[in-house]
Amino acid sequence: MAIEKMLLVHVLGKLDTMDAAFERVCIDEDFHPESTMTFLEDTKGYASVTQDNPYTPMLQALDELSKSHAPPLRLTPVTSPVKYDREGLRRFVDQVSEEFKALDRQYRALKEDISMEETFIAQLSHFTGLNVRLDEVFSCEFIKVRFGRIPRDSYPKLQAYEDNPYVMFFPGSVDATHYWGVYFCPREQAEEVDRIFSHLYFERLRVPGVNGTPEEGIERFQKKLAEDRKRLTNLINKIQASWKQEHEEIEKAYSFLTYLSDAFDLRRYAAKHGTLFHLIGWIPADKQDAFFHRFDELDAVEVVFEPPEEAPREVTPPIRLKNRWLSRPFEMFVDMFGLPDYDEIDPTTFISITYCILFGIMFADVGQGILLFIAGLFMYKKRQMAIGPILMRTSIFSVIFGFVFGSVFGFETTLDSLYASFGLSPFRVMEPDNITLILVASIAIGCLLNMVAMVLNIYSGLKRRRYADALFGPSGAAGLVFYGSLLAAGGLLFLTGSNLFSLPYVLLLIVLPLLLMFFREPLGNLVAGKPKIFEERVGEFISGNFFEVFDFLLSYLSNTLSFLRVGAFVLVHAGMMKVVFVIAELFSPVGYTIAVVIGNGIVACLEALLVAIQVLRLEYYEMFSRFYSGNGKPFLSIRSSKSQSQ
Amino acid sequence: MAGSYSHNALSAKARAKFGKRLTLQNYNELLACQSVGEAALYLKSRTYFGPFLSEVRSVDVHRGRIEELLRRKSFEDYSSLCVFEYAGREFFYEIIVLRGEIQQILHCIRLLGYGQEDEYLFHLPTFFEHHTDISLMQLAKCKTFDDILDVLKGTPFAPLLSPYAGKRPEELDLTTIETRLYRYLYDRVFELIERHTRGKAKKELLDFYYMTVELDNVLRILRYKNAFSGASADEVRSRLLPYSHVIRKEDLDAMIHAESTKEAFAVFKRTKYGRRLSEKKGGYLEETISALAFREALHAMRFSTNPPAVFLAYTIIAENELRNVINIIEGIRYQLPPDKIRELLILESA
Repeated sequence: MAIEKMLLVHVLGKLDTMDAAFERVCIDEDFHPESTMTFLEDTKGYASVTQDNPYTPMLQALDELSKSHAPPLRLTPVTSPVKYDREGLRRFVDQVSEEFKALDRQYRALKEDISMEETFIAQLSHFTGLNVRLDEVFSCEFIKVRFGRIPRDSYPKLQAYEDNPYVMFFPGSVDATHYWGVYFCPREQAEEVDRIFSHLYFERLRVPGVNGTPEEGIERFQKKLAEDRKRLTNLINKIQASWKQEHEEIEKAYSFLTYLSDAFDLRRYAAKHGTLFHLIGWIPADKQDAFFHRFDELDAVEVVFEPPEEAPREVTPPIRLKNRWLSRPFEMFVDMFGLPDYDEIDPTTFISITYCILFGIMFADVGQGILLFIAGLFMYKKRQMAIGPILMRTSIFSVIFGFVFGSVFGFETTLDSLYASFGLSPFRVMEPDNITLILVASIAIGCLLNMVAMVLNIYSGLKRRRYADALFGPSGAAGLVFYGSLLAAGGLLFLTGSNLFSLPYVLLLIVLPLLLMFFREPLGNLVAGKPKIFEERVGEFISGNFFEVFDFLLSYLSNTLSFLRVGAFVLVHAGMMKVVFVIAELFSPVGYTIAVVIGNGIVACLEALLVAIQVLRLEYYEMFSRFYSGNGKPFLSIRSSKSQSQ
Repeated sequence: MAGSYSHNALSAKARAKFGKRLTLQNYNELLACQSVGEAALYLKSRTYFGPFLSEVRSVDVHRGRIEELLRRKSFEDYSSLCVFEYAGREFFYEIIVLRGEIQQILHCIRLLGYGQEDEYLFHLPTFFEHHTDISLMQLAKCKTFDDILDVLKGTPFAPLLSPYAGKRPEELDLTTIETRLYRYLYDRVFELIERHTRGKAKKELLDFYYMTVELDNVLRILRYKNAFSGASADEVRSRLLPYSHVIRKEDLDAMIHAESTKEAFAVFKRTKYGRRLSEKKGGYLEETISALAFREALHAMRFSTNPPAVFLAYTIIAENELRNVINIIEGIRYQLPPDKIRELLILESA
């Protein structure tokens, strides 16, 4: 388990070489910038370097294109300063933007035309059967004609005008909400009749350029619609072909523009002093040489490296975890809790081992474990989900412990012959004696893991020179002795009846560690050589710590008993599968098979989810809380920090 | 009756509907709309009014049509809740229909008074025809007050309005007619409450309705003071509904005898209702006072365990929401600035 070693870098040079220097800094995204102005102790004469990023408009133009077309643009990393014609880049981006904007405008116009034609066809279809030429009707001089629709609510109100010869509505068709039809009136009465129909919420149908009957109008619009749809399809093909043709060049330009933009954005972190600039940041220690040689061509730029120990105390190095392939997927869990401090231990390997073992015990089934492996493989390969590799690893332990508990898809007798061939008797989870054994074993696992966590805390505390915590804390050496002694004596008393609780044992291994824990702060100050041993008044110290002792005594108990859930889930699995079989036995052989399959599926999904959450809870609350703080800040290149803030 | 299973379902159903109400964000977004059509399309696509505005297709929709559709939605909401009433549609359904009938009669008489009796047809709610014994289509054909009385023959309203028979439209005193009709309504309401409820449920319902009546009286006094500053105390008193519950007689008399609206409002602020007024500055008096009933309704909706009270609270809240939406649409139509429209709204956060 490892945290990548970091080096503090100072990049200094003349202002006119700043762009070139920053472009070299940004290669490989292995530089974590720090704000120079806040970093320096004395900022007299320094000023920040802020300017509008000239690459942003070009990037936005390409981003907009990318959103409306597939495939989207991908970023390819820039690994060496590429000689690219900047003006050419700008011309290329303008030309591409204009080309696709023009195509987009045509696309929108066609879509609008198609939508209108569809609407007109739908509206005219309400008047088919009217064997009249609409152009002739509309050209009447003395009669006004209005085609349209009236709400069904308003239609009965027309009865009030049955005595008015000028208010005549002829319905043609009806839908859920309206009557479609036409009304006529003499030219002189048009204003009044229009007013009446307007108050009845009559909506006029305005279809431009319809000559002939409604059927002829529909035919004409349908012909136009077909033509427009064909044009739209051709246009879409043209856009996709253009995009495909230009995609590679656009992607290159996009990648390089992003790189230039990142380099420019480093100015936010830099400071200037007269004609010089100063930029500070972190790089992985193994990249020192490669980083140094990037600036060989720039005589006016100097690069200075410092180890983290020489950096100001308030500035902590960023964290990048470096783990082997087997435990790397579990970095996600560490990240969720919080990255370690630079001088803290990396808990990734610890969590990878304990998580797999606990998961395997709590989800112990050969068949379901294999299914889980397949599910994890699918999640990883097809969906690139981070949980996939974790499931693949935990499922292996599920299978192993499935062999231990003899469960294959819930069948507890399938492996009996295998056990017999090795001369072993099968382990039946639900037998009363075995239940007690499982629960006691869970507690034992909990005790062991608690002590391992304490050992890790001691190691971490000594490494970080936090002696109070490492030696005298409840998770330190004193706590370990106290806890271990209680467990040893209590366990022996329970198992064999031997009583270790003699006076010397109690005084040396229980009372003394308790007192050391009580006085952990002053003792830690003493060991660290601090002048003031008691940081507060003695009376205040004693009254405050008195309750704290109760708190951590209680935490020993709760942290230990919490592991009962490990055994509980073993029993839960057996119990739930028992229920599945009871239900399956109600059916015929075919129904039995189906019920068992479905039951296995439900139990596997439910249990996998529950167990995953419960084990994570044990890791975070019972184990991490003993030795891990997780206050580290992540290593972020300029691009990562920009995408995080978005 | 309050303990029956169907009554409990009424509570659950009313609260479910309450949960879908417009949020503050909806109101803000509505106020940002630039046209009536845009507001209608927003209501259709972004709120639970959607299914009731399905016929709205374009931005050219008429404001009156939107209001009609929203009022129909309101009525159908109440009707659907009345299905859960114990022993059939007896209590609230009757009140809702009675109130609707009175509103239609008053609307018709009002238009007759303005000389616009032909306009009633356009405002007539067709959906309500199936629920009332009054022929609204016949009401739309009335040209005189006597025609209206003929249409109302056989209904309880005929004897109430018969004293005005033979009068010309300009001779009709609309406020006293309104008082008569609403007095009949509330007499009936209190009678039904007395007959169908008891105990805590009865007390809660009575408190609610008395509050509605008393606040209505206060508003009538304030309106009268505003419109007719020289009106006598007897004139004002004759326009009030004869119920009192919380407001003391002395306070009511003081309001009636006040010289101005401001003085009357100051007296009101000293009453039990008035002391509950929010500290919000500005806004119109009507909205400020109406907000009292709204906040009581909100409280009952959240905490009451009596289904009839929950139903009544829902109707008050729903009517308030409808009023808010109509105010917004009208405000947009007449191009009022959003801040001015907001002053007319009664919102939860106000």
